[in-house]
Amino acid sequence: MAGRTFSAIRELAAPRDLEESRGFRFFTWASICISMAALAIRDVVSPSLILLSVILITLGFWVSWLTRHRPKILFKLAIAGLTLVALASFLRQSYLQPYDPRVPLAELFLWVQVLHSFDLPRRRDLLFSLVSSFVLLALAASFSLSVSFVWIILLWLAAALPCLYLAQRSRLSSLSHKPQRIATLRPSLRSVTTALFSLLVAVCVAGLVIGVSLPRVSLTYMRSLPFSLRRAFFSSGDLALTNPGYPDLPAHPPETPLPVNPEAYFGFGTFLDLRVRGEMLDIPVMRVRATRPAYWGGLRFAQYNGYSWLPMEEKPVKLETPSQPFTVPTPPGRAYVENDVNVQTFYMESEQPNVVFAAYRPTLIYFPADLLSYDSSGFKTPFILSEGLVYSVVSRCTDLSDRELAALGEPTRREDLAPYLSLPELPRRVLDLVGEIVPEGAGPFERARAIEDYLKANYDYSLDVPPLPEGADAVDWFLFEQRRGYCEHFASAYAVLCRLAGVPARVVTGYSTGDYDPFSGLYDVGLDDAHAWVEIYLEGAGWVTRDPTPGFVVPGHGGSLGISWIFKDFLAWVGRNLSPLLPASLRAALKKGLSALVTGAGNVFSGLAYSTRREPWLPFLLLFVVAAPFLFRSSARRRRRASYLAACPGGPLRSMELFLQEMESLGLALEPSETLSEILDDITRRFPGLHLAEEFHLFESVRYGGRVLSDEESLRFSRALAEALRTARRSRRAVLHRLSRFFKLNAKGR
Amino acid sequence: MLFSRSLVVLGLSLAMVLVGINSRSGWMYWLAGMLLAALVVSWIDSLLQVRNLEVRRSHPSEVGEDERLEVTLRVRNRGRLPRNLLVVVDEDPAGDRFPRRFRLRAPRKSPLRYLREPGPPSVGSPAEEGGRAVLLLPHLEPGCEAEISYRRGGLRRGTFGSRPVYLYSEGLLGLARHCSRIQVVSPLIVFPSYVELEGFPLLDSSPHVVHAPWRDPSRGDGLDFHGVRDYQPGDSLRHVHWKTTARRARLVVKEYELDTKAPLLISLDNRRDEDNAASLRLLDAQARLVASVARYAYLAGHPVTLVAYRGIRPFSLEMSDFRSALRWLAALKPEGELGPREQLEALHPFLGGTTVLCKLMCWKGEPLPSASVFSRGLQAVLILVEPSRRLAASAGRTSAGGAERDLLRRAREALPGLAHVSLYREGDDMKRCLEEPLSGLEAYPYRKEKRV
Repeated sequence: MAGRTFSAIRELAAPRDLEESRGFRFFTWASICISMAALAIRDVVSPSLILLSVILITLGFWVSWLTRHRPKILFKLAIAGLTLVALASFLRQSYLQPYDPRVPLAELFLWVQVLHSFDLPRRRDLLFSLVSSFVLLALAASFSLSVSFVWIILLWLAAALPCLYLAQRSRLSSLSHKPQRIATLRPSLRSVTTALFSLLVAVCVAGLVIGVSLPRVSLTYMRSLPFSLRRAFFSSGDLALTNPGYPDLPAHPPETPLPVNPEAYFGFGTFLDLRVRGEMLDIPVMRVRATRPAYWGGLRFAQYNGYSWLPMEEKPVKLETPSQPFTVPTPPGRAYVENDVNVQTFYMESEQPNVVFAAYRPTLIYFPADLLSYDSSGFKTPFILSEGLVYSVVSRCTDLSDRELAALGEPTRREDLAPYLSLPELPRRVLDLVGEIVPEGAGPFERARAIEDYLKANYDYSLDVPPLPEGADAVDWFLFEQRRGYCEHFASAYAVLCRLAGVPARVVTGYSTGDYDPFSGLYDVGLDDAHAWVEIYLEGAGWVTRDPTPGFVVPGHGGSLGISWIFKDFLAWVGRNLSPLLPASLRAALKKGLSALVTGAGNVFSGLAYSTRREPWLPFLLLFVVAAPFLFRSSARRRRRASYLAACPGGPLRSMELFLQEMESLGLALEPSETLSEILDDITRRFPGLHLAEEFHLFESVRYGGRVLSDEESLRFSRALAEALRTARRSRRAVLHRLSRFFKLNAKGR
Repeated sequence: MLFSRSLVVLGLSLAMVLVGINSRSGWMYWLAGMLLAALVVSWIDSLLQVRNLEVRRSHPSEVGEDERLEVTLRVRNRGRLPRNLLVVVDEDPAGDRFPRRFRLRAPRKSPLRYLREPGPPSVGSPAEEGGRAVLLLPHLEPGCEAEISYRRGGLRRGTFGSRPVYLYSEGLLGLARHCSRIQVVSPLIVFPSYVELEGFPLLDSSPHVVHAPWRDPSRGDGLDFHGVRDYQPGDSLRHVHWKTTARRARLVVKEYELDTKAPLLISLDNRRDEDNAASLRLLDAQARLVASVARYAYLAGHPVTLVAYRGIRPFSLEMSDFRSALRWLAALKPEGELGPREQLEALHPFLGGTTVLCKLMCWKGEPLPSASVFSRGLQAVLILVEPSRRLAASAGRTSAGGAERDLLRRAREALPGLAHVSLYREGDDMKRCLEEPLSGLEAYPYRKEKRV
């Protein structure tokens, strides 16, 4: 009985549908190796493990090729057992490190590849390996932070496309019958390579178009934390604020402003000095992966002293946690409207102050330390944020429309908000200005909105501003003397005017969103993105981020479903990367032209939308106008066909008559006594490319055999003749062209 | 069109998008885009592969059922792009219906069948089993023509005009498929197969000689002198009766009596049935039987007339040569509307005094009809053609041949002039069935012995 069972299993395990193509095996092996190399390059798995895997896979492919005809039952059982061991290891690692399953997953797929490579007898097995290599590539892609990954994708495609082609060739060969004889050219290596290269180009171009067209969706209910705590936890250190660009920063602004370091933003310090600014260098600071764009706030300043901002003086609270994350307590007594979540991961690329940058309002912080401190100015870390550090923050965001914010009332607990309303003595004209800007009886948001609109409309953004004169008030000087300034000036003026209008406000320093990299999906934040903005307090909504600086807009959410499109970001990316290659004048002209084009298109669409709202029939009219040429063309074609058929009562007879007339016009001399076969011989001799034997045979059966053709056959016959006529004309033109060239050359020679 | 592999790619790209949403990794969207692009490109590629192609088919116009047909397909690329991995599918001429699209599917086997028959599932060859011929054209340059030849067996009697050729492509990547159908005209007549009989009972036992003037003296002379007549242009001078010519002073030729054998009338039962496939099968079997009998009779010198029915009217062929009979039989369709009795009655105009009737009748166990033609002393052979599905039940009833004896008795009661009865069932040995009728036999004798 056992013997029979074993033989039955042996029969079932006998290799079937064997894949004999070495090329297919080679390209599968190559795509797996490329995926593994991608993992090694992205530092997901250690290079030594990758090297070992590549050696084992190569060995596996070789063994699999040699033993492809054997059943290998025990071998298969061993592979299955080892795969289960790899799965158990994956589950264990996922349990130990629940935040990011990607690394264990990569290791699992790596081992599955290695084990599976020892048993690849069939086409299906090889295709599974190809899919598996794609998964490895995707895992490596999820770790990739830069555009350079595109080269790995191209390389993988260059291996995968031949793989698919060879699989397809093998499949079709196995499913088709063997012909008795086949007379055609065999595909040469060159023709196959050309075809595959064309496909590669087509896939890349189409992939670019589709990739740009895919909407980026932020579904908050499908979220896992995309961070990776890959650094060892640091021991606790000093929690005092430290800015590596300004190492010896005093607690209060000195009498004379400090010299500006263009490699560090002075706003991350114990004070925000409005007397100096300077231009920051374009140094990459960090890359941010976030579910929605935001300003990455660092420090909040509450006290204004006429030329600088200071944080509120209070004792910082220590946040300690034995395990991640740090949970930030909600400030007591304040009702927040928090209707969205922003999950952010920060990849530091240069040294930064020991401040946790995050979108407002952070609630969970995953940081590789066991201690953080926080106060109203922000979160401090026990060490400076160094290059390579990765941390994640989950923020609760307020996403209310202007109409909803306008409906909110005055703050009720004014004693808590007193520090955000207090101001030093200000010149009279500043106070008067508030009275002029703010409308009578308006709510807090409307008052703040009026001030914001006023600043944006009447003041210019400029980094070229002379230093603040001795004893002058920075806000007064900006509002009435300079009338231009940088973001700190706008933020200060806005915060001061809001406080004067009775709206609690504070100034925030941090980084603006940065440039969106459409490939990696990360925001590239540079030092020149350092920015200052304002948070105003609205009862019921909490602190709401506002930016009064012209040209800056607080990024909002991409609609109710969180769908955003990256056309603009992609064009911006292309512009950023191509512009250095073009001369400045052409760059400016292109920019202007594109801008005009985009504005024009926008105006047309908004005009259309407006008109449609007013005249609902307009879209139908437009649709008709657009479709009319196509309808007309289609109808004309139908009419032409009908008229052609109508004009040929004998169908094929008339067609042949017309055809022969046309052939005579092309110089074919036909005698009335010639038979059809003689005419055919004449045509074939004159135009060797024409093959009309079948049509003439059909015509013969109609003309002399009394055969009646169906409409479809008649049409096909007429089309064949028309096509033959076109070919003959082309051939005659080619002959004439050659003749004219010959005569021209002769004339030149003479 | 998309299929399982396309769905795998779609599923992978969807997974990439979901991971992209989850992890906000832009590369996931690009990988999804790349997969979708491969799908789109494959779709367009497969569409372009099957367009702008011209197909011609050539083969002999006449072939026997049991022969193999040499078919040559010429595929011409009229487009500007080369064609790669193009599948050319030539439809079976005997196919009942030609679908609009063709799908290439791998043959499958259940595990149980694998246990019974180890080895991969086979793709039946058109040379052996007929059916569609699936041929792979690896490459075709623009403006060039490829020629593919194959052999087709398993042919079925009939006349065929045009049948489609499908051009099928899954592109270079095999992620999408397209098929175009081209109707190609290539007339084909498939003759019914026949067996070479060594005897046919009624004809062998009744060598009726009919004395009739031989109307064509130029063909040769008979044995007995019949009379004289005036010379007609074309008469041989050998046949001039010189004495009478001299007496009458004009040319007179001799006429001889011709010893012709009894004319044979073969009538088929081409009734239309609800089950069209079954009717066709029975008609094919009858055509084979008739071809065998007609050939024997023709070679034996019997004038042969074939009769079938179109609607309620009989139509006939006076056999001048065997090939014409085969053509006539190939073109037969189940289009008669007369029942067995009416069929027999409709034969009146074809029956002469010495005519021997060979009537084929589809029989499903119903009582045999009686007809007035049999009361005139007609000598007839009845060949009953029974569908194969009744074989088992019939065999169950016929232990020791009881049912056959009973059948013979009933047939003689119903049709008094009946000389012999044969019963043919699909799969039987046709030669034995025709050479050895049921009369006098103890058991049903024609079943082919099982091959070991």
